[in-house]
Amino acid sequence: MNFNNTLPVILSLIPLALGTMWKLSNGPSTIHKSMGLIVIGVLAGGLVYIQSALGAEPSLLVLASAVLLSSFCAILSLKNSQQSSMTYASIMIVLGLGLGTLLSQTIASRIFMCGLLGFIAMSLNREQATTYRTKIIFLHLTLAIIFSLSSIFIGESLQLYANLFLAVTFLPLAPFHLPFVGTIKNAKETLSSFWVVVWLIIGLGELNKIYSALTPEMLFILSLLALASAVYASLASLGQRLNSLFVASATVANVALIWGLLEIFPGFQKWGIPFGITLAFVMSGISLAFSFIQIRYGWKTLGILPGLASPMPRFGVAMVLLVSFALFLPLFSTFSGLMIMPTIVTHNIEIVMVSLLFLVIWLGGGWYFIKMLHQTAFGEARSDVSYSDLRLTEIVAVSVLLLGAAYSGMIH
Amino acid sequence: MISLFSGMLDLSAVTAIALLIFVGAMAKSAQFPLHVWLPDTMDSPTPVSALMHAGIINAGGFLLNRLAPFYALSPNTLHIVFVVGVMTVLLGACMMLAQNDIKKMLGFSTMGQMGYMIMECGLGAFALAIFHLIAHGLFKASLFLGAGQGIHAAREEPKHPNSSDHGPKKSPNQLTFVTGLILTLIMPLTILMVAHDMLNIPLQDAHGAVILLFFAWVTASQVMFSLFRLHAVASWKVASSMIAALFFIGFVYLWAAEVFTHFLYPGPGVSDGFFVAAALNPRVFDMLILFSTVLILISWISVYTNSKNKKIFITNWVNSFRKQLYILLINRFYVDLVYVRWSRNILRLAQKVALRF
Repeated sequence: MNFNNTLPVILSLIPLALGTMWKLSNGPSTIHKSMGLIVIGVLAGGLVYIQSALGAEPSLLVLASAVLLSSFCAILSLKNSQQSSMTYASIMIVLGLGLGTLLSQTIASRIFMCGLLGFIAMSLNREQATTYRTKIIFLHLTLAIIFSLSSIFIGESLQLYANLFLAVTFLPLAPFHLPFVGTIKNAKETLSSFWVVVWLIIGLGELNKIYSALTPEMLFILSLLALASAVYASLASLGQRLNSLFVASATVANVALIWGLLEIFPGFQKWGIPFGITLAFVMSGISLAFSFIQIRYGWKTLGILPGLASPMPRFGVAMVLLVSFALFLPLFSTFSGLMIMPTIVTHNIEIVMVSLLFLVIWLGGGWYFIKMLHQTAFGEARSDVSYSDLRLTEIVAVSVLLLGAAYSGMIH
Repeated sequence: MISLFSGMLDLSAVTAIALLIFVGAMAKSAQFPLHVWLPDTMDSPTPVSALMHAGIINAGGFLLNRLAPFYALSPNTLHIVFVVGVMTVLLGACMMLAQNDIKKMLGFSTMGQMGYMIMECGLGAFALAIFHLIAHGLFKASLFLGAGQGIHAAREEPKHPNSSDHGPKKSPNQLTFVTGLILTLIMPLTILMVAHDMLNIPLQDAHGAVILLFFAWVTASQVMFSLFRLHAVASWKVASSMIAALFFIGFVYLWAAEVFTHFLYPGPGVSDGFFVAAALNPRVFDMLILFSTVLILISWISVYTNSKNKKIFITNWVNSFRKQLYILLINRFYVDLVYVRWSRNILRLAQKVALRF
């Protein structure tokens, strides 16, 4: 057996096995936290070894590092309680499956992806009542599993479409956003913030594989779909009442920018992957901040608990920084793409479409993010609630995500 | 060139870029119809308003000035800039007259002045616009900082102030009206002569002199009408002193504009290039001057007849129109309401979409 191919699988199996064990047993959460952080440290060392000794593709390692960093933040900020044990286990399982999908070779990668999709389906099946919408989600997940496995065996052209289906599932583009939205909505505590990162990172990995094979016609259709998705998701974000759905719809709206800019800017690895990671970290940070409030006060609906910046200044600062970052997300992608784009290249109708896409996402984002900030951080605090500010571990978690987003968006 | 629909529609890239940047400048400098944020900021503390109206609001005009060489490549955009500036001046000044709150009055005055500045940019007078920007910033900040004192002073006055007119009202004499009328006819004549090169002004910024003279003439007329309304110009001495002061200030401004232009654009022909790019059709320019002259003449005739208690032009429909116009102005042309209704409709749609997302 080739050690180069086996090591990523082994590394992925460690958190997977640990998470499965924790799911089945019911140990104290303090031990879970410590062990989880140690495992993440070991995985980080493994990634460094893969990079230095085995010379793996840099973009994959960047993506894997982003997943690892997000898992660190999710575990660090979890409060030790009985309910958190299951969350620790879920984070470990998702971490293992996610890393396996990213780092492993073809067949193993697809098996890990099927495992991930199966885990998603199981989680949704447990949480959601059976409705027409959930049936569509399960059908979507089933198709994704079939395409994931069959993409190894089928011909190149069909393989492209199969991988494209997986890419639009994991880098959610309406109307393929339902599994993503369902997963984020049902995830508990800090797991939702981790899911945002894992989902987008896997999508970026899939898109990175197929980007060079996409034809101009496919790119045009994708950009049209991206524009429609941006409008739809931006409107949805504006009208959302639940915090988890707000994050999900805002993520879908901003992801449309990646799909839309594919047609204009070459070199997806140079602009698309850093921007995707930035987007994932920012949305994950917002989701994480929401989860802190939800754990403390059982808050889920925007506007019910306003004025949090006054009794919880640390939270206020974190939320303002996250929203400020989120407002400028469209600029990061556009400016990094412009730096790569050859100056002699000209575009006609594509420029108009991308301009409209940019306007919709930026203006829409300006509206719904500021509205959310007013409903959450600003306003008059309630007198019947005993507030408690963020703990040190929670601040560190949010700060790490912000720094990661800043590094990815501006420096990398 | 950007070609759309397989070459059926060609759009100049420079024009498109310039227009899009101008939209940003419009919003920042409170140009109509993106001005609605300005009166809403009056709730903030007055020193903050002073900082904003003197500094931050200039960013739009400053952006246009920094990109002056780029805008000179697109005459169409400069014409659009001019039209937007004119609309903002007229509407801002009119809305200012209908306000009953000192800070809102100053706010709309700022809107009008920003319109002037954008108008100057649209005419290619970028150096004049910068000069205007600085001068406006200084005096508007002073006005805001002094607004609080004015409010305190007004609160200390009796609720029903004594009438200051103890004696009979002095109506302006014939010489005052003749002076005003001659001024109204000489100024536009001078402007037309300069514009058609019949009168040579030996300045680097000769084109800018035309614009400055035009603004000076319109502003002077407005000031004179305002003073007539306040019965402050009852003697020809006062009117003459005011006109003399106007000429003096005009020449000082001309000198200042010349120095500024030389400082900002020392290269030969640079500022001329901007004016050439922004040049209006000569017929349009002449019509503009003639229209303004006719308007000011009618205003003089109206003031004269009012002073003689003969309201020749005031018919019922004019009175009714005045009332409707006043209601429109005090409600700021209902632009705010339109935006609020739009946003409410979008929010309702968003809530429906969110349920299905």
